[in-house]
Amino acid sequence: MKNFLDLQATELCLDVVVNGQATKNYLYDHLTFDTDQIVTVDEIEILPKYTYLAINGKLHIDQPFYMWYHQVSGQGWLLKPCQG
Amino acid sequence: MSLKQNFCPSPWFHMRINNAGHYEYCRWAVKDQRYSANSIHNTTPVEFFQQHMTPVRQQLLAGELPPGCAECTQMEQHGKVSGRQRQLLKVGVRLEQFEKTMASSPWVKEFAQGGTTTQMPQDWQIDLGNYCNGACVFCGPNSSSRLAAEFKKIGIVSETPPPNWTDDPVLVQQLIDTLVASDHIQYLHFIGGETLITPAFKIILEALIDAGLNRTATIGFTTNLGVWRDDVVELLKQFQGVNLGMSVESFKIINDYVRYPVCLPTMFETIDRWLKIGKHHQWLMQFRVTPTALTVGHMLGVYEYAWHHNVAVESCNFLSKPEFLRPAVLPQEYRQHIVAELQTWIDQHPVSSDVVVNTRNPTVARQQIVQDLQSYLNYLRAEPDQSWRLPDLVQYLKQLEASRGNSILTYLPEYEELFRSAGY
Repeated sequence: MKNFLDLQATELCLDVVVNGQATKNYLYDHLTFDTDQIVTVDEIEILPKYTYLAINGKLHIDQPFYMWYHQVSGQGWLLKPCQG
Repeated sequence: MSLKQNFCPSPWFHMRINNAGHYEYCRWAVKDQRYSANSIHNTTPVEFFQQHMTPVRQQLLAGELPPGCAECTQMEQHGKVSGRQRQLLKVGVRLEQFEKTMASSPWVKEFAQGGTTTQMPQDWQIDLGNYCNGACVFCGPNSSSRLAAEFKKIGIVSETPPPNWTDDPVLVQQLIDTLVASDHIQYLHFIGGETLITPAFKIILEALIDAGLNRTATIGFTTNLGVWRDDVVELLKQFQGVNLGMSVESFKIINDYVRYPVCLPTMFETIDRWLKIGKHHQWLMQFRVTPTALTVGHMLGVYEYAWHHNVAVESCNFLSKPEFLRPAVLPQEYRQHIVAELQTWIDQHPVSSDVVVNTRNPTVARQQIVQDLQSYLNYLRAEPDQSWRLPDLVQYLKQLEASRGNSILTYLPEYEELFRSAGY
C-alpha cells in the first residue's frame, strides 16, 4: 500500500470469531456479543476478557471496533476533528 | 515508498512555535529541516497550520517521507517508540493493524481532503524562549541564555540568538488569543529555556485559567530541577491534567558536569518536591533523559530510581546535535561494558514484551522504562562508530572547562585514556 489513495481503494473488514465460527463484518459495524461466548476480533481477545463491560449479559460495541478497542485497551487520548 | 512506513497524522492536529517565534510542523522534526521562514512576527498560527503545512500533509498522504521526519525513522530502526507512533496513536492508529485502524480513525475523512484542512491545532509545542539558569553541555544558545552568554564570551559564537518571541507581550497575547479561540485544545507542551522562570509561562497559564481551558486542557512541561516556583505550581494545580518532565542525566556526579551548574543535592531535593505534589494531584511524571557520550554509561541509576518509584523515563530522540556528543561517538570497546550493564539490568527487570506506544499510561511505566532502555541498548549495539568526532568533543570540552574551571576527568576518570588520545 503505497499511499492514502490505495488505502481508500482497499476493502477492509473485521475477522470475527464467535465460539470457533468465523464471520466477516464491516469495519464500522456495531457489534453485540453474549457474555457466554468466546469472541476474538482480528485475533484480539474480546470475550471473556471484556466481560466486565457487558450489560445484562451482552457486550455492545456501539462504535467502530477499533475506536472502541483504543479506549478499552488503555491507549490514551483519541483526538477527534472539530466538526464546526 | 509505503504509507505504513511513512505516514504520520501529526500535521493534521499539531504544530510548534520555536524559541525565536518561527513555526515548525512537528516537535520531533530534524532541526535542520524544520525551519520555516514563517513566524509569529509575520504569519498567524492558524494561517501557518492550515496553509503552509499543506505540502507536508500532501507528502505524507503520498506515502513519502519528508526530510524532517528522519529522526522518527531512526528511532523506529532501534526499537524506540517514535514521535510518529505516538501521534498515530492519538488518532487511534497502530502499526500492528495499520490499514484497519487507519480506516477506522475519526480522522479518515480529514485525511481524504488531500492535505488541506480547516482544523485548528489541538496539540501544541510552545517553546517559550531561551531564558535559562542552566548551561547543560549538550544544549545550545537557542535554548539557554546562560550558555549563549558563555559561548559568546569564550568565542564559540559571535552573536547571541535573536530575542525570544515571548519577550513581546503583543505576540504572547496573539498566541493566547489563538489558543482560546481553538475548539479542541487537548495538550500544550511547554519547553524553554527553563519553563518555570520564563515569565510567559505564567502569563499563558493564567490566561488559560481565565478562559476556562484549565478544565479541559492538559499542560506538559519540562523543568531542569534547578529552580522552584510556588506561584507557578499553584497555577498548575488548577489544570485537569499535568505532564511533568524532570530533566536528569544521571544520579552520579557526572550529572553536575553535564547539567552545569545544577548540582545533585539541589536536584534530589527538587525531585522529591515534585514527586510529592505530582502524586497528590495525580500528575503524570516522567524523567526526561538526553543520553550523550558522557552519560550513556552512567544513566542506569535513573532507570533504577524510576522503577522503584513507578515513574517513567523517556528520552525524546537519539541526540543528533551537537554531533560530537552523540552516544555513537563512543568506540565499540567503550560501549561493551555499557551494553553488558544495560543487558543485565533489563534481564533482572522482566516485563511484558508488548510494545508500549502510549508512554503516558502510568500503569505501564515499568514496561516503558525497560522499553526505553532497550532502545539505547539496541542503539549502542548497532549504531556505527563515530569516534572520529572525539577530537571535536575534546576541543569543545576544553573550551567550556577553561570558562568553568572544571575537568571532565574529575567526573569520568575511566575515559582519561580515550580523551587523551583525542587531544585532551
